[in-house]
Amino acid sequence: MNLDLAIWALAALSTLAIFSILYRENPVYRLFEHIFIGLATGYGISILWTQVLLPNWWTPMAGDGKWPWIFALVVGLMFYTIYTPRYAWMSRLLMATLMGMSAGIFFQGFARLYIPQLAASFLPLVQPEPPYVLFRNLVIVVTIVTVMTYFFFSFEHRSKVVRGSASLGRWLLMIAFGAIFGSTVMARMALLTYRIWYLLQGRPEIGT
Amino acid sequence: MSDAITERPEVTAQRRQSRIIYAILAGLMAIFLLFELKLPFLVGPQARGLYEAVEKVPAQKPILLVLNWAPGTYGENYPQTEALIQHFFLARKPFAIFGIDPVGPSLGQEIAARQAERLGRTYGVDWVNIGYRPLQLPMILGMTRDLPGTLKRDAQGTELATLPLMRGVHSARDLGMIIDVTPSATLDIWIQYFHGAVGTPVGYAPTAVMAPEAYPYLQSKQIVGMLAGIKGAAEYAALLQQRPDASLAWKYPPMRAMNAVSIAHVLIVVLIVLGNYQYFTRHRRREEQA
Repeated sequence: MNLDLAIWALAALSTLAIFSILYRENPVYRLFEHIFIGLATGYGISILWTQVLLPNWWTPMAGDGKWPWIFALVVGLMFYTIYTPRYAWMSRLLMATLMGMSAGIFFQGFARLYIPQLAASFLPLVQPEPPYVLFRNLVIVVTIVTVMTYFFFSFEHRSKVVRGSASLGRWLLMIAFGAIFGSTVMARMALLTYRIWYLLQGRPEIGT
Repeated sequence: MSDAITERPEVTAQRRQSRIIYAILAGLMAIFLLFELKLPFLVGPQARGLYEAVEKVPAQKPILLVLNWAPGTYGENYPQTEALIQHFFLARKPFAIFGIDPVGPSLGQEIAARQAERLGRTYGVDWVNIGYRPLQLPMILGMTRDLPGTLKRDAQGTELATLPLMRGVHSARDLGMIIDVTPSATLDIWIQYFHGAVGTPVGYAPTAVMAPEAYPYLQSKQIVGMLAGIKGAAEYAALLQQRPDASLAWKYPPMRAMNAVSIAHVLIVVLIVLGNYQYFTRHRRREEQA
């Protein structure tokens, strides 16, 4: 039997077993679900060893004589002291170091991520731009202002202007959520399309 | 002995309706996948932006193709990756595959090796596969300053510095672009530590679920373009077909897949209208009976 065909047949069987949940809950679906989780975990561990730990830690330490790499193992094992109250301070020491380092790095990254977006939201509304650009800018500015009004909880929304702005902001949020949900539907349909393609074609080379 | 729970008749009817809908959906998709039935199609500015940005990358600066996807999102990220890799090979843009997901680089290796063989491109010169590294911020920061020193070897264990493609690459400044193909929220990393720090252009190819979150980055020009799910892959394929040197071969043709997805959307819209009609007519009938 051709190996490619055997692989295709096994994958097709797995797909149909997982899709069987659409008919009703059944033991075949449960079996293949557990196989999938086991395979994914096993594959992840295997890749972690062969592509990360073996070339970057074990080979330099055991093969190239760079013995200080043993301290990486000691430091790594210190995380597990969290399970013994007497030595748990060791794990807290590591966590505090990691949290401090991450906070510092993220603070720098935060500015790089959001300051350009803040700057980009200051858009011209009366410049000599084409009308469609001005309209687009107006939509962006109105959306920012009204949505921010909606999320302003420091005082009660009594004024008609504030209430109206917050209400418009809520409507605009709903439109955005609708667009996001539409994208989610597209993503799910795309995944289903591929599995149907796989079942129908069995991995051929076809030009568009 | 039977401990089966007896369903209410309306639940059984709903379950039956769901099964009929699933069957119609699968049948329609199969028809549109088997036969090339073309639906109206437009290329958006996001895909065009990414395509044009890739075209502008200098030939001596490799592109870092970050593949952070696994078989769970094969239907979207595979055609995106296949479209991008074919573009790199056709336009003679050297690239390096890299991933912070264990499976992504292996899947990219399969596509790149197949396309390289077909188009006569050489490993080490036109492309390399650096492989998987776990996501650690010190590693990301190290990549921006000393890329070959931080990543050291490719997926086969060869020293990166010895590969012709990587000879001119010392830091993130020497990369022509970074393109993140992903179903996860990894875009921020490349914007914060590559685009924000050293100005490396960033492209994005997410699943459709992730795409709406990236539009602010497009507007602020923090990313040069985006392929939103299968639609983005189909748009990119349409742009590739317009090339005079277009020699394309797809394992999973994105335009045909997009047609199947479009017809599924039409079906969903029709079902929403029918469902609402049924709901309101039932509601009115109950009111009349009351």
